[in-house]
Amino acid sequence: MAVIEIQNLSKWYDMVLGVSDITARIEPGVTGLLGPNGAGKSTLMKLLTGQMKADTGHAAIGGIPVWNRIALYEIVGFCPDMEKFYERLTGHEFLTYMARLHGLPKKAARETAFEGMCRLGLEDAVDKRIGAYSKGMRQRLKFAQAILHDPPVLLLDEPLQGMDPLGRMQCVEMIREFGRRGKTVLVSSHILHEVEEMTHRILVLNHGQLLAEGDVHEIRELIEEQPRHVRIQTPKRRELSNILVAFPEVQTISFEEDPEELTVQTLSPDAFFQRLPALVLEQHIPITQIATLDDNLESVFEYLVKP
Amino acid sequence: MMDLRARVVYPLTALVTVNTRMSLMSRKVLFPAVIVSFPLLLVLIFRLIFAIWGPPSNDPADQDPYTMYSVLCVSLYLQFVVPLAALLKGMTTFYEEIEEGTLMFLRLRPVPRVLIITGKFLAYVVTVSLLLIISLWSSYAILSSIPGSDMFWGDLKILLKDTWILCLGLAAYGAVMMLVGTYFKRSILMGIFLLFVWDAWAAYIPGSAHKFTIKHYLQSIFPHQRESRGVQGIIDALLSQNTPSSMTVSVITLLLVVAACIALTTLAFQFKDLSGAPEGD
Repeated sequence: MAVIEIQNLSKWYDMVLGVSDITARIEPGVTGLLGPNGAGKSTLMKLLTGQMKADTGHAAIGGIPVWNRIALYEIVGFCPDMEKFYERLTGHEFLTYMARLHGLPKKAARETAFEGMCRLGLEDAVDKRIGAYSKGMRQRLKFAQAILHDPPVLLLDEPLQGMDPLGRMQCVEMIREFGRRGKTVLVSSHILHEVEEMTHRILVLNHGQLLAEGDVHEIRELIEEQPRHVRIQTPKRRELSNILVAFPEVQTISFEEDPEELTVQTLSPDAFFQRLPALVLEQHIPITQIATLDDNLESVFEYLVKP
Repeated sequence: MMDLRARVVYPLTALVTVNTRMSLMSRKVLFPAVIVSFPLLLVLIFRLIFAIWGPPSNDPADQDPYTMYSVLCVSLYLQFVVPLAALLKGMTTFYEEIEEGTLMFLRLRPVPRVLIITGKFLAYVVTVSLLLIISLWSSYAILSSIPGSDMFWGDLKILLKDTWILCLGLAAYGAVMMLVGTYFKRSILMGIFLLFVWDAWAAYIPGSAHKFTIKHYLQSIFPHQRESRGVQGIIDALLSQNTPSSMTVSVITLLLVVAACIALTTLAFQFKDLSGAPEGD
């Protein structure tokens, strides 16, 4: 049964599209919300946490409509994608404050806050002011305030951004554990492999629209079916292109404005990269630079939106 | 009972104590503190002059510590310090959470919105009242120390009455400023107009306009009254609508102003989209 239900949700900022006509059902376990910067992930998160009113459509979490219902916050924990804090409080004071707002008496709130800090590896920073926290520590603190009241639903907006490797590892493991325990976790990211570490279920968002929904491996296969572009820099551009034309994996070759640059389009980048070094040695063609142009997620999304 | 404590008492206590502490630790409290300390500074200077050179005037009426305290209360604390402190601190009571991007942490807790606004408002009242009490009581104590004065014990009741009326004034002005700060884009201009144009001059408009000012109700219950002399006295006598309201009416009206402003600010918090466009997305 779906815990998060989204129906035809749209939001505009004056003339700028936030999200458009999104419909999705999210079930218990971890679901990744994948999309490049500006895709509408944070807007969707804000809509789902009732911080923003949708222009059209409807969303509910655990059967509770998300706009203007304080009961929602009993069951939802949110880790925002922003850097704002009460800088003068210590991390422990901040978490104690948040716990007291959840109805805990002072002593219990202090204990819960301390446990929360220890859980995220912040026990050494208990009495340190948030203003003096590093980016990674602030990220952990944001995560800690989201899970403080042990909510059954977690919405995490880029929770690993800026975290140190150890912190990332701990958080990824924690998120997986939440999923195993039957919590519903929606975690956004613009990095594919980051999401893959946590879940195989993803929603792909771009330009405010839901492009794909399903297994991350299916999406990857879809991506791998798309041609890749490789830019090569060589003083012997013409000679190199004559040889590359004979490669079965090469689809097209185009010359760039720079007289030493050409771009190769290939469907099998692995095979292409295996063959290239031998060619360089055999034919004595010096190559000064190679760059793949499609490794970032945005270009993957471009492939997905192509008709 | 437990439910009421968990839903109201614990969150409200947390909101008041944490926000009061944060306010007192913040650099933003410095300016209101300077404003509130201004009368105390004048009293200190006067007392120093008195101690070094003796009484500055030969007229015994001008040297009476109680008269000086009275003038200080009406001309500075009531008409200048309280409205200005409310403008500077009250206006940002709720708006600073929006401006500093921390509103989300409050918004995502299962706490009734009215409780959040009330908690933040009470923190403002406690913070500025603390500053005011330090300044007012110190001024009183310093003036009482003038040789020959029997003011300290004799007029203590008046001091206590002044204190709660000025604190009520801080609450009423602050509530209006909190509302203005939440609803208006150019809130500072609006605040200045309401406090120093409308509130100060409405008494000169024929009819009942003065009853729509906070100043009218505060002056009605304030133990000290301003004496206008000369031309100002004639203008006041001819034009000013100055029939005081009763203590009950005044206190109830001021409390209603506070309640209405809290309710309207809560409405903004509840229904207005205060989040803005996301930065990263």
